[in-house]
Amino acid sequence: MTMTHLEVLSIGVTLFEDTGRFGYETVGVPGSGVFDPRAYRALQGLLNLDHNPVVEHLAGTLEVRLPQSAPGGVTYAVIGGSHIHQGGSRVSAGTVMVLAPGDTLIVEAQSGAPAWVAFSGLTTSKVLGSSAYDTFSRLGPAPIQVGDQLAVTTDQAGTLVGRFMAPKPFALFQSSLVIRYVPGPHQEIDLCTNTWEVSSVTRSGIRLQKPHDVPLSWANTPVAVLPSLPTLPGVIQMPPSGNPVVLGPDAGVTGGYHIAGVVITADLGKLAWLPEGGHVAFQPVTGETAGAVNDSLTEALNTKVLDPRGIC
Amino acid sequence: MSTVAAYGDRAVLIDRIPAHEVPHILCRAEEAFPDFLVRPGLNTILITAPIPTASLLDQVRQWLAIPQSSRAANDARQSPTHILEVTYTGADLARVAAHLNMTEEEVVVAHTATSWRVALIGFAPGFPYLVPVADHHDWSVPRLATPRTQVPAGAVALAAGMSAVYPTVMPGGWNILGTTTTTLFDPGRDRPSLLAPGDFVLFRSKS
Repeated sequence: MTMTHLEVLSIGVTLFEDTGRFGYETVGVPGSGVFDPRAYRALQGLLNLDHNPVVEHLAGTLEVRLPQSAPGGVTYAVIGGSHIHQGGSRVSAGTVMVLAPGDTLIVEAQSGAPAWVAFSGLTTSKVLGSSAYDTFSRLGPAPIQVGDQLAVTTDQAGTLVGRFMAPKPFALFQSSLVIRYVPGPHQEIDLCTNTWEVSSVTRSGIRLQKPHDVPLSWANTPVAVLPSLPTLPGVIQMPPSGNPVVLGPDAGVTGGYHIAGVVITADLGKLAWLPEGGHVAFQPVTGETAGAVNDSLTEALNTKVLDPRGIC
Repeated sequence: MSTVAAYGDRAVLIDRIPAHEVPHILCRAEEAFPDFLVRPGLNTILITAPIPTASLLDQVRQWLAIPQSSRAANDARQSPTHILEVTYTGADLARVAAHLNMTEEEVVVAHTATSWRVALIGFAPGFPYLVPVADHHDWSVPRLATPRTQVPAGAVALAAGMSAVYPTVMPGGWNILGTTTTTLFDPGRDRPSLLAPGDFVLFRSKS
């Protein structure tokens, strides 16, 4: 394994992310981290990542090149994206590939089709113990720019190449129309009778719009704003406008709006896949169900990845 | 009477806590749930587990039901006091004085005579919401109708009965009384935030 670098030729909304920074919410620092934590765990399994960051690419064209002078190939894998090409050939998401010296990788992403790319040995600077970039607090390694060099390592034996995700986890990575949540703590707000239109999707939050012809069942709530209380990613806030906001990984850690419910941990990653202009419905579940769903998700993501050469 | 409710699948919210009781319950909760993230709101406490934990709601309910002798005095002794020097030449000082029917000098005297306590830190890294320890003075001044796009770093501000200090340049709608040069948040430090919930703050006029 030798250190080398990738040249960044094109970017869109392109950031370093990892599992985030935790324990600092008490002093106002969001956990941040990958918009879809499931994608990180899948890539972690595919490339045997330690706690290396990945490249989160939410829109535009990401293009990187391994210089011809590099001492060896660099393994990588992509989750999501709308198009993935290496040297003019299409690449499948969820497969470990090797970028040879001189090769160029292109990943296209757009609303509803976000992408995460893991490269062997990718490292960058850390702030408060994490390489996650928080777009709200502007903490972490800076967003990736054209001309940057990404520090990676060559893949020593190429034993990972050819690994691909089992069918079950692969099916997770697409847009979903239903997001499960635990209702409360402000129980008087009913979310599940409506289908909501997705206005915008950012790492700070997802803005939803209520359908025109449907009255809200909570419209008579007298108090518009509450004394500030702690929030978490996945909190579904209901401002006086009646247009809910679902908090993302970079959202501020306190807020004063009523909370209709909180998206279950297993479905947080689905928020990154909501297409702007699309629709979403919320399904209430109990805490017990949420726990069981999370256990199944963990099991699915831990499914041994298959190697067509028969080596595990 | 405080209430307990599920907050998603890995957190529980204790709500309707009288504001002056929050620091004491916060201390107790931190001791009772050392593996969980415990943080306060103005009249709430959120206890968050690292993974979905269906039993957390019952655990918190049972813990709250245990009668505890008042240890409020002890908690106060454990919390540090920070003294922040302030140059009271803020853009909104005159307007705040007029609103409170005081002279600017009287506002400064009252602000520096008040003991403040950190109720919570949120909105931005290191941004403290400070509440008066005793209710001797009415600090109710409304936020600005139109927030500023850029508030200077270190701005000491007032709104809705609370004081705050802006840790860095950012947009803001609170009334600026002055500025402090003390660094509130530095991600390079071992303890990045100078303040923690429950800490006391005293302001001193820099003459």
